Amino acid sequence: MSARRALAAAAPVAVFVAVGEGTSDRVDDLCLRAEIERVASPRHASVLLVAGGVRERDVASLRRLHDQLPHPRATLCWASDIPAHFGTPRTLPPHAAPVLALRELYRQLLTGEHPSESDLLPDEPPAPWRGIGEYGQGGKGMMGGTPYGRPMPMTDDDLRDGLALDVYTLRLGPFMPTLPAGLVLTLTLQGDVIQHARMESPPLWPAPPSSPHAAHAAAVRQVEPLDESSILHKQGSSAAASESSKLGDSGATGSSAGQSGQDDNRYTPGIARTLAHREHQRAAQHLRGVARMLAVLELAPLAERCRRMACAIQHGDSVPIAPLRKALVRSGAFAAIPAGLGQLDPPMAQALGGAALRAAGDAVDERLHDRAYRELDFRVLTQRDGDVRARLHQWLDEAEQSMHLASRAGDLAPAAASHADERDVGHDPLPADDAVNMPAPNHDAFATLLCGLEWNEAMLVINSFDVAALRRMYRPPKDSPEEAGATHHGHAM
Amino acid sequence: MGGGEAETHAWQRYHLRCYPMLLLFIAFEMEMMFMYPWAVVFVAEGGKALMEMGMFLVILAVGLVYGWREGIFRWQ
Amino acid sequence: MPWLGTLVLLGGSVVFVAVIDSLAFALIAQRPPVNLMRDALLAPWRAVAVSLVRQQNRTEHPDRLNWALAPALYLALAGIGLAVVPLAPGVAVIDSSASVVLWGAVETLTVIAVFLHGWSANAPLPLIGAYRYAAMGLPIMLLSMFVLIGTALPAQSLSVADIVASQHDVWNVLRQPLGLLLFLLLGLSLSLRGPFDYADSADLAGGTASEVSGAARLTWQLARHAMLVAFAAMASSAFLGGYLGPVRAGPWWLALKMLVLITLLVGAGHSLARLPPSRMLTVLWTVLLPLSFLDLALAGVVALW
Repeated sequence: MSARRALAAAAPVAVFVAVGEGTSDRVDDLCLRAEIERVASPRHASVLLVAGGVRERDVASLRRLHDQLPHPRATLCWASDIPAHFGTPRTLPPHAAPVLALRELYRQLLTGEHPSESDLLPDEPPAPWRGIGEYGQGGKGMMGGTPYGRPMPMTDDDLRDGLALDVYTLRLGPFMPTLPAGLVLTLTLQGDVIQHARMESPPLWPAPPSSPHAAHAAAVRQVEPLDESSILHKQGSSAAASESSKLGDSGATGSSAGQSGQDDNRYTPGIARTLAHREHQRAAQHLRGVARMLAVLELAPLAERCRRMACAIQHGDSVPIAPLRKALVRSGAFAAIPAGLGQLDPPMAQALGGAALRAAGDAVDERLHDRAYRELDFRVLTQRDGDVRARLHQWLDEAEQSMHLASRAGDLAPAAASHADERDVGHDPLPADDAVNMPAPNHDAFATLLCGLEWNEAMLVINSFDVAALRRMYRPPKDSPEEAGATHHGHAM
Repeated sequence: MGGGEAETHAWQRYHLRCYPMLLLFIAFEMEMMFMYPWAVVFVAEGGKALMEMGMFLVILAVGLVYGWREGIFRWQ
Repeated sequence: MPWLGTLVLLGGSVVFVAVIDSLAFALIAQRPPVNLMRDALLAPWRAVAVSLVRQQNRTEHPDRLNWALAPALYLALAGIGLAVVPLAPGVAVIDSSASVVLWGAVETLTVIAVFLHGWSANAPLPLIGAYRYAAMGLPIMLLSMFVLIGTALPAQSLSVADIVASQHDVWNVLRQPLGLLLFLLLGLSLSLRGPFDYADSADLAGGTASEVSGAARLTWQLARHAMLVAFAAMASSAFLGGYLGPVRAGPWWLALKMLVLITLLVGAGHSLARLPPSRMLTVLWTVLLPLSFLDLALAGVVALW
């Protein structure tokens, strides 16, 4: 192997992750490793990591994505069946350590042991040039007709100032790193201001279902049950983490828990979950939401720090959140978000529920009805405005509150996990309960929120909702049945 | 675009939202051109030069305030 | 041989920028301190190797000439920007009596280079990045030139060499502190960093750089770093006295000041949030530009004293 390739092999593996069902959190934790560099564009990647089950309707996008990686490239399917017509990529069972496999694959790519994967789709334009006339002209017109090659955009009136310039329609795919995993949008833009927005597919749940009941239901839906993290009790967390770190890969790991130990999960049904554990999961989910928003605000290292904290909290460590909040204030993250952006009016907030509703000022929380929480003097936190800034504050406040509750809870066990609670924590609830006890939104909330917003503001608004709220906003097209179960097979993780 | 596909070429009559702001920018740019020789002779000319450039700036600042009120900085 | 010295300064500083970039990222992200320094020091070389191993890609119907031209133009502008800076008394690659004007031209043409880079790929996200950057980059350039003209007032000359020489008793940062603060914002904008990164931004999945890979991407990244180096050299010369120092005037003082400014800017780029374009535009024109007028007025008053 030449010196250049040897040096390249020592670099962090540039991975573009196509996130599937229930794996977003684990992928985030994986990408905290120093050996992996998660890139924002497939053009900057060497390895395509397909993590978790990919929906049937997303497979075509996955093939397009695959062809966008520059050579030398390879694919690794982790905890996922190989999608249809995808060639023969390497696969990895769900409980294996992906870091070692990725590094090995990358090294083999560079030495040539693993050939670079060829294109899946033909490298031709959709309407190839077929010259008819003397100078090769043909087709029925460049503007508004059906030309050969690709047409140019057509004009339309603009929302803000009435100028009639070109509109551009683009479909942001399911694997876009700026958006939650699985979310497919069709945006019609004039310049960079959104004229129409439509959610084509809802985002996927970031965490696997954790209760045995939900896991059984998932199995009934032809998706195999997904694992739960083996770390449950706060007391056992550090011991378990160090134990599994010995079992995991032998690469250089930091001494802090939460860096490794992620890779060795077992599915343990039926274990009673304490209040502390559940509050830790909730805090971790909120912090991951904060991290997504920080990434949009171009605060990438702070976002990584946030995810690192979320990973540690999910493994049971008690990490203080106040320093993070101070760092956010100092960086101007709150000041950068315009006030009143993405404001929810009361009926929309009622329909969404969860943290978004509490950020809009409504003190509604499932935990109020639980005896264990009442013993701990639980009080519902709310914000006033219901805009993006309020939701960010709400996430941080609730994460801090959750850590506080967890530290005082000891071994208290709450009542059975309610479905709304499961959803708020990012787990997949039972399919029938997606619409439990809440009035459905009677208008296209998503389009109303995004219409007229400029790109950066739109990204901020979309990322200010957690996955549960975004799924509430999804309205399936009237002609097709709800494809609740049409998920490509995902392996147990 | 994360796997999505576009239907048309990306090249378009892009709606440049800051177009009115750019007209004001050109005005200030021309002032900057005048400032170049002004800076070289400033100390020699003394307070008179300061007053004159100040007047130039104030006149342009009136245009700035007018534009601000008209909303040209609002990403129309 | 001023051009040799300039090249050495450029090369060394670009490596420094890359190292500090990855170090700052790792520190702010609170990565575990295992191999932190080693990874940071090796990061630029590994990144170069990775880029060279990777194939250059094509989009469906790009503007090939401009796509290749844009990174080269950006790099050339950075080189010209560094060339106007004097390394020692009387030693500069471009020794003109109006080098400040040349620097202004470099700033403006940077906007064109970034725009071309985003436009050529014929893809929506880079295109949005390109247009957005043009909207922000031009007003920033304006206020930075007002600030530079403020530093030219005590020197009575538009030559950078004279501006450095005029600071032999007191640095401009003490006479015009507001000027340096405003000028540093330009550095972030010229090198597409942090709060002024409207072109290659994360919310556009990499913006103008999202469709390039291989050697073209390497050139672009190199050009960004080189532009930061050129800016740091200009700022050190205009406000911090350039090659002047307490003991012996020479390029080492310039290098020291450049490294300080580079560290400051890289740190700021990683830890300040970016405003949405409409807010930033309003802040630029209604807050920062009047501040630059104020700085100019103060500079004038002080120069006459």
